[in-house]
This record gives sequence, C-alpha cells and structure tokens, in this order.
Amino acid sequence: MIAGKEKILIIDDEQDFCRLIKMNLEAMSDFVVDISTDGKKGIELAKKTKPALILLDIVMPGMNGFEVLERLKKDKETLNIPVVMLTAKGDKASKIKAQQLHNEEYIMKPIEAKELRVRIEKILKRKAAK
Amino acid sequence: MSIKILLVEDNPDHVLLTERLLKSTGKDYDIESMGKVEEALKKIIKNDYDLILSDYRLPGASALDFLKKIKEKGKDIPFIVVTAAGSEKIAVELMKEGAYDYVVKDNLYEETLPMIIERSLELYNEKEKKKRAEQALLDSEEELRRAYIQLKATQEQLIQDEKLKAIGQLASGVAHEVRNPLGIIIQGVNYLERVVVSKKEEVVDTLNTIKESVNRADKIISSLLDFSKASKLDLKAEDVNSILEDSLTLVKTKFKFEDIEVIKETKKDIPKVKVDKTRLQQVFVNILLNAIQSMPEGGKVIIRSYYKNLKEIRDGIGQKEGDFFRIGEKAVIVEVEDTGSGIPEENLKRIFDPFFTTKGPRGGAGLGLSVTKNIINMHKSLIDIESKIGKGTKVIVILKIM
Repeated sequence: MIAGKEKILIIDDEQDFCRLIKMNLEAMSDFVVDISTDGKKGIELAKKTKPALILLDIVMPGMNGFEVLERLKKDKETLNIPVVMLTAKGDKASKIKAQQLHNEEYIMKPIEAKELRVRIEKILKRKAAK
Repeated sequence: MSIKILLVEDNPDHVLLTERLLKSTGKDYDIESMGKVEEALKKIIKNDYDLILSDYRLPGASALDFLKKIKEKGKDIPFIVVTAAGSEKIAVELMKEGAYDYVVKDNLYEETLPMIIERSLELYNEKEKKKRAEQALLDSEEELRRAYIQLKATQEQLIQDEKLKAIGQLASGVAHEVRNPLGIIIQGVNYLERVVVSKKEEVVDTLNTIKESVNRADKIISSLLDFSKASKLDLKAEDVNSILEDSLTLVKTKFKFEDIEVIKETKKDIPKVKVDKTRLQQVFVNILLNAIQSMPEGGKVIIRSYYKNLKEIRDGIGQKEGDFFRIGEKAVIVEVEDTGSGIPEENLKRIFDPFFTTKGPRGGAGLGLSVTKNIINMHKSLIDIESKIGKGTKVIVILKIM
C-alpha cells in the first residue's frame, strides 16, 4: 500500500467499468483503486486489504450486491467499511433493501468521474469526523 | 282485515240498497259512500281503498270521466261500474278504459254484485302479483346489469394493471441494461477528456456531445420508468392548493422565473381532493414546466383552483359507462393558463400521445404529458387542454373530491 493513499475497492462484474473507474479516480485523486469482478472474491479482498470505502454493484452473477453487503456488515473485519451502492438498478425496493442492510450511500449509474470523486471524499470526511 | 269499498252513488236509496246487500254477504266490507266525483277523488287520494263501486251516471260527470281522473292521479284501484239495464255497451267501453267489471242493476243485481266484487278483487290481486314479479325481474336484471358493469370495470382495471406491470418490468429491465453501458461510456469520456489533451474544438465538442447524449438517454429511461410505474396510488385527502404551492416551489428551484409573472387565483375553503400527493405534484410540475417553456420571452402564468358542480356533458362526464364524473357531481378544478405561443390544433390532438414532442431531440422524450394523462386517469379524474396560437394555453384538471 502506498503510504497516505486511501484504498477504494470496486466490486462490479462490468470489467470495463471497473477499469475506467480505476483510471479516472486514481488520476484525479489520491485514491488507489482495487478491482473485483466477483462478489465472493470481493469480500475476501476487502478482508485482506481493508479499503477505506467499497463501491458495490447490485446485479452480479453468483453472489449479488445485497448478499455481499450483508456479509460485509456481519463480519467484524469489514463491518466499519462504508459501502456505496454504485448501480444501474434504480427502483425503490432496491434502495430500501440496501438501506436496511446499512449501505452508506446509493449512487446511480451513469455518473461522471468528478461527481463520484466528490461524493466519495464527502463520505470519507464524514467517517473521519466520527 | 276488512275490505275498504268506496261507493260513488248520488241516489241515497241505491246507497242503502247496496250497503245492505253487501252486509248481507257476511263478508267484512268497510263501505264509505260519496255522492260527488270531486269529493270522491279527494277521498281516493287520501285513503287506500280496495275497490271503487261507481254508478255510471254521476252528477256533473260520467263514470268514464271519473275513472280517467283516478288514473291521472296515478291510482290503480279495482273499479266496478254499476249501470242501468240496457247500457251494457257503455259498460264495455268503460272496461276498455280500465274498469275492472260492470254490474247491471236488474233483477239479478243482488246475486251478481258480490260475485263481481270478489272476481275484481281476485283480478286485482293477480295483477299485483304479476306486477311484483315483473318488478322483481326488472330489479334482478338491473342488479345483473350493474354486476356486469362492475365486473367489466374490474376486468379492465386488471388488464390495465397487468399491462402497466408488464411495461414496468420491461422498462426496469431495459433501464438496468442500458444504464450499465451508459455508465461505461461516461467514464470513458471522462478518461478521454483527461488523456486526450487537445485544444481542438472538434475533440472537445465531440466529447461534450457524447456526454449530453448519455444524459439524454438516461433521462429518457427515467421518463419511461415513470410512465410505467405500477398503478397503485396512495390516495389520501389532500389540499390541492398546498400541492400547487409545493409544485411551484419545485419548478422555481430549477427554472428561471425572471420574466414570468405568476398570478395565483386559488380559492380558499375548497374541499380536499382524493389524490396521491406525490403523483399529483408530478402532474402540476409537468404542466407548469410546459407553461414556462412556451414563454421563452417571458409572460404570465395564472394558476386557479375552485370548486364547482359539473353541469355539462362532455368526454368523461355523463351517464355513460366509463365516465369518471356524473352530471351534477361536485369536483375541484385546477387551471394553469399561460400567455405563451399556443399549440396548433393538429398537435393538440396528439398532445397526450407517448413520445409525441415538438421540442426536438434535446427537449425530452415526449413522455411528460402522457405520464401526466396516465396519472390523472389513474385518479379517475380528467385533464383537458385548450389553446390558441399566439394567445396561450390553458390546462384544466378536474379532480375527485374526498
């Protein structure tokens, strides 16, 4: 881990999306972005690398975003990591479900890199203030 | 129970004779006698007689006139005419007019009268029974008709619900599948904006165009989702003026109102309306936005609300199956009038059609007013648009009161 740089983990099965998010966020901020295109592996990576924040997709093959979120929040090691749903699924039921499972925020795709960066920074600031 | 008989006869001797005769039958007859037609009529209106026994010749009127007058008063009482011997022809005429029977004052009078009274009462009872059976049939037919209408309406509603549900599922599936690539495109553009360090106007413009197009596609998806949202409404008693006020505030935060004067002519103390507040707010926001967009050079928006009795038959108001309002029903009316460019007649016809737009590709998907109409329909309420080119447009919303 590069000293001083905060780690972001993105769990999303869209490989191209992950790659572009990584390139954009790393270029415009001090974040280091790790990628997992599989829910289960994403949880393992979160435990191992302890990211400052997780960007989590909902609709994924295998383990979906809700299951991933539930597991992250049940595990002592990952319980305190803020999880931001970053998804194309915009229905009310999904938003409520994510809230019930204690997500930090719900962001809809498509989103511009700049806006995403600002929102991540805000969450991290809020967390640091606590 | 005694049988009430009104004896209309001006000859006291005949009255006595008939009374005696009827009493001698041993039957429980309650007899009243009257000499004049007018007085007899008054009695008939006030009392419930089981039978009228009338002499053919009465002072100032014939039994025929008398019978006609009874019918005019809407009374159907067994009516027997007593005639002198030899005038059976007249009696038959009378029967054609609705008399139940006739009895000739002859040697057999004493024997025939009680028999004819019994027969007329039986006939009346039969008639009544038939009438009741017919009415019961009519009632059950009406009940059946109502049940059928109810069934049809429920069926239509179910079909509509299913349709919307299917469109909703399809739309949300499409939305998800399209928004994912849109997410990639926008990130890709953001990447290119950074790495393609080009001052070339064409490059910058192209990237901006891609971004705008992504936004447009995203907005279309949002409208499509809105359009297909399930038909379940959260109906409550709401104050229409406060919904109007909230909608106006919402529109004001998003759009410039510098050159637009808003005139409020909303009536206080109007009844609460039965609506889903959020959905109605969406309706008003849509209407207000259209009004503003029709006045790029500025103008006036007049917002009215009032309460009235619906008197005129028109689409959606009347007695037809499927009409949301009945004539005479009270409703709350909201009007939004602008002094904008107006809408040509040919466009007015298609204004509520999905994807119909005159704003060009960047103006929107053309779903705003069809969503509006859909929401109003779901409320079993009405929306109407009147417009004059160069003068402006008036949108009228008729809402159900709680």
